Amino acid sequence: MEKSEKFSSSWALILATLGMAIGAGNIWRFPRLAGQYGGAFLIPWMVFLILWSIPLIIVEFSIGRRTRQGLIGSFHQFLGPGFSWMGAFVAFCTMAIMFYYSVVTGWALKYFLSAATGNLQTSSSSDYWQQFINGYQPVLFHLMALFIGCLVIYRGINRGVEKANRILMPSLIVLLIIGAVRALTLPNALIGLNYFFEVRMDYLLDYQVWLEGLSQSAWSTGAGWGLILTYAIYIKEDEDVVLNSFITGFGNNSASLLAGLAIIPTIFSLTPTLIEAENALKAGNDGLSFIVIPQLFSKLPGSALFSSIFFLALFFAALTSLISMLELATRIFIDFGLPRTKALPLVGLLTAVLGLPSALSYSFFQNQDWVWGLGLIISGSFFMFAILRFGVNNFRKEFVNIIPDNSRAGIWFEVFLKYFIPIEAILLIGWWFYRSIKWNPHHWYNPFQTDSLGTCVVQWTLLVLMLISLNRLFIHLLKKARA
Amino acid sequence: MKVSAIFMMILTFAIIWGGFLFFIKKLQKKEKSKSSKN
Repeated sequence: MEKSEKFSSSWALILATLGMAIGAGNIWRFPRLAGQYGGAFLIPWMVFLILWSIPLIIVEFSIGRRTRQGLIGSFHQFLGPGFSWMGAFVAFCTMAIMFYYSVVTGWALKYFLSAATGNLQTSSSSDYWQQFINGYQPVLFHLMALFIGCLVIYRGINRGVEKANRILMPSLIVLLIIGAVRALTLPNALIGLNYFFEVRMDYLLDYQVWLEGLSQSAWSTGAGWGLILTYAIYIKEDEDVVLNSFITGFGNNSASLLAGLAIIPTIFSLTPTLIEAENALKAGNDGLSFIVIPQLFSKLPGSALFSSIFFLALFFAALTSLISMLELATRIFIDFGLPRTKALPLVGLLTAVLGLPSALSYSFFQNQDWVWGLGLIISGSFFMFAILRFGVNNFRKEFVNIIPDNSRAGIWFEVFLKYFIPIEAILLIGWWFYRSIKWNPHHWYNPFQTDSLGTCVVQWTLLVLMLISLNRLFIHLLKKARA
Repeated sequence: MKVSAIFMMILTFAIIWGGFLFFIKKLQKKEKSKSSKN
């Protein structure tokens, strides 16, 4: 088995975990929701950072540091061989996201190149998007983004992941700051700020806004995806996992606020009426980024420059997250006994092929985003199940608080894991299923409907059955690699 | 901008950015004391 590298310093680790956490969701999802619901959304978003994300990040860091194996090996070691399939479910869920995330990273790359060369057709941005998304170009850019990601992972942790994040993360923050300064100096930027921060009581008392805040916290920080567990394989034994978890969570949310400052005032400043601004925020993630933003930026002097900055930031954010997903998948095969040089081409080929349907069909992409985005809540629940089975108190003492000088997880950690996170997971799944039934009142059970409850249940069930039947193979491969 | 929005803006930044800088500072201190021990 490959001898594991280690992150060269705590700072290198922090940059890598921030790169993992700060992704497209910070730039295209957070501003959309914060602009729609304002301060009433920010309150649950902050509350669930503490009640969902940080405890799960601590769990992932602690398991990875102890087991020094990827997801399947970790669940195998932590819960027993019979539960290896659970680790495989979490791994597959994140890998399924990786297959289409590479496509999204490609979209951002394409739009950056078009903006930088002055070819972004902003007058008819909707037609330009439709033409692009229905053509062959998404395949090309999916492969380009994937190739860049693979190049980084091929060089390993120190020369690849660390070096890439050392360049990309500070660049991303600088780009977001430039975007925020420009947005805040636009006329009527204060109207946008008002929408961003005003707490409307009707929204604050709306349970849906609270569940939107919880969803954003669950998806945006990367908690429960297995990505932090994978990076934790490479941390030093005495690394302060509690402190690093807080830095990852708060750093991720700080970047979201910066993205909000760059986007929300721009929308409210450049749309002619408030109703149009509100409609722009309801355009969906990709609708906002690839149709509304290019249209709005075209009204600015130096529009090519500001469009380029926005899409470069989106590309950098997506790429650093894609890198962590590629490492997660590669690590699984390394644990099965393959050297990195063989595991990575396998992962690259798998991603290239399984990303193709999303690159070629927008509705397939939407289906996968729905099924596996929601699947992450199941992933988080598997982590929670693992800790509850092991004993939260034992876990805190034997896995988290093991270095005397480090920050400690207090009794709050146990309370959150035992009581809050299980309730949050049930509420989240229940609410999204309820929404799905409301969206498709006559076809909610149809497995071929893009965003139905049926498509989730069928795809998850098939995956679980397949992974349970492969459990023996996982055990065999892990044992063989160790021998 | 309404006063309540200004208040919420200050509160949000104080918690999130303030929290981030606080934890970064803590890590910085830890790293310093680690390197001085070595």
